[in-house]
Amino acid sequence: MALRELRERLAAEGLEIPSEEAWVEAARHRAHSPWFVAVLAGAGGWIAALLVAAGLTLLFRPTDAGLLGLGVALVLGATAGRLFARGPFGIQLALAASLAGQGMIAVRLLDDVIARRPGPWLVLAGMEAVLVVVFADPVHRFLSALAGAVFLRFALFEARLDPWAPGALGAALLAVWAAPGRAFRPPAATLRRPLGYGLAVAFAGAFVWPIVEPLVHAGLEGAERAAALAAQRNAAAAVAAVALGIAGARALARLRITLGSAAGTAFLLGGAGIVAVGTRAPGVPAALAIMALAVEAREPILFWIGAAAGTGFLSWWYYDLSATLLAKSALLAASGLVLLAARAFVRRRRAP
Amino acid sequence: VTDPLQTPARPETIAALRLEGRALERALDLAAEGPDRRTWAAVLDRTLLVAGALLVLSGVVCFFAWNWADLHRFAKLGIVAGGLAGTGVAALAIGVDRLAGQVLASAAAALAGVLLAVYGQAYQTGADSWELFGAWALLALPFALAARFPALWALWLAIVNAALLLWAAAWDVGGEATAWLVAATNGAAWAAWEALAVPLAWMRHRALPRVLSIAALAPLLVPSVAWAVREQGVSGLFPLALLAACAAALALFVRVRRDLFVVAVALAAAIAFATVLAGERLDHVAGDGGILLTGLILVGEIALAVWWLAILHRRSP
Repeated sequence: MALRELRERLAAEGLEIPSEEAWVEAARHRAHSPWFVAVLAGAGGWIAALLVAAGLTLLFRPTDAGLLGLGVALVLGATAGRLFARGPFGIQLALAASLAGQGMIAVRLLDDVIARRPGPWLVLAGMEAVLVVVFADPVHRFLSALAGAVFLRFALFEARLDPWAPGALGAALLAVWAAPGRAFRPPAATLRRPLGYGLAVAFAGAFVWPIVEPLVHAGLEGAERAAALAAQRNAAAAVAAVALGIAGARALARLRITLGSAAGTAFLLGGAGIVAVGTRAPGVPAALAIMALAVEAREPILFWIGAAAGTGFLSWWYYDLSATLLAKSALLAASGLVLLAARAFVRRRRAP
Repeated sequence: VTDPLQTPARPETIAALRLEGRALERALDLAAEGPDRRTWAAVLDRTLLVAGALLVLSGVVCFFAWNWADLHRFAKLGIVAGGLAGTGVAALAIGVDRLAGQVLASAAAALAGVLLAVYGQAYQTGADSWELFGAWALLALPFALAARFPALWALWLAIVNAALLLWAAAWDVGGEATAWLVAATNGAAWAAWEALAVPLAWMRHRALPRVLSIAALAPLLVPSVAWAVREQGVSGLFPLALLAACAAALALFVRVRRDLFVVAVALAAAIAFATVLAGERLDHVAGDGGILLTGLILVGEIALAVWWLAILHRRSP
């Protein structure tokens, strides 16, 4: 919704609103830079953090305890610095110093990761959760949300709670994007988008793990392991189906479309087909859930995150199918024709 | 003049309004409200069209990747030629001024390449790969000209790039000459697109020229970085050309045609080169401290770039 439409609707409801000049000023304020500026700042921050961390380590050659202390000091100093930083150098330095500090803490805590304990991963996930809130920077918040979700993923893996990971991340994603707008009133207003983007990438990434993990541990198959992998895939498929169902049902309810109507029936049929695909490729309905949330939230960047993830998962699924190229070719063409037929049907229904 | 109040209502923007009480809650709720049925239908329409067309095309490609040795060569050529003619005729029937027609024209252009590959396979023409891609570019050109569809032009330019790279490999042209060739080709395509976008409205979408800005600068950046780390035999002309191209891009896309994406790409390329150059020199001068100094220099460069881009963004219409 554009600011002008919002202003008109608030005025129509008789609510007290500021002058048009104040709205123009707010439009100019634009707390968020374009996405590519955030990418530049984030990528630059990461590389600078690596250089700063390596430089400090080489200069001071700290002990294990010293490394942890230096890391904590850097994170605390950067968080405080970011609160007061007004100039561009201070803001970028705080970002790089915080990332460098987090890297040092992670290196120290995960030093004995071979012990396969979830504790260090949980500590890191907790640290990132705190930083999402207190480090008032959109790029840092995105990176912290993503890193926190990844650390949580590994904590669950070490605790042998793998199947819960997509569900936990899906619940967090829905909580952020399906929450009413008033849930993000100031000062939390700047939280929603970086946190939501980070969780979306992490949620999509959670469906990459069941693909990657069997490849990493190839040759270690056994009955117990096969059962664990099957449980992981089934849980992921269930989570993806539920997420897609919630995202779709939310849109239908808002648009006042009943399940008995033509659009509702099409949603049920399409959803059933997607969920069927999801039993073999859970990432596909998960990506579609992100795309549905994006359309509902009018978030183009979120939509592209979902579209990119969906393309990747679908490509992998076709590639990984135990079928001849001829069968794959037929399946690809047939599914494409089904989508094109669905489009033609929708257009005909909507034609005056 | 662009209306500033057409800016999307985000929570951050609403926070800047300093609304209170019920007005604030209602504004936040309304801003988070989803779009109407028409918008949903438009998104569904485009998603189904693009996903459906890509799946069908992928199916066609998989079909030709299948070991179809049992088919007679006439059958093979007939199937592809039939697909090419079918998509071409359908594109004309629907009209290349509509999205569906443009997607069909793109499919026909892609099938033209498949036809050449099948012909080469069936008759063992002995042609090099670069010749196949060159001929494909020639055959696809009329479709691209007719469809006036940026995505099809992106495909055409990708084919041209592939032809150039394969030609350079086949003739042992060398890394430097290849970099010059690819940079010049993509740079010329970029300049032509920007010039033609003035009179031609369909070329004003910024996606392709943005991709071309990366495709033109990257072949200059890689050898420039190699020169900065004193790799032997790399010409010093690359950094000069890179910096000149970045400067030209900044001047044009800040002052003449405001496009902050291209400005960000040019700044990123210049920063990458400058940081590697500084890091290499400081490593010799400052020892262990050189890495830390390089990190701080990078912080400064990115800070300046982000600060400038933020100012330009606020001043953009």
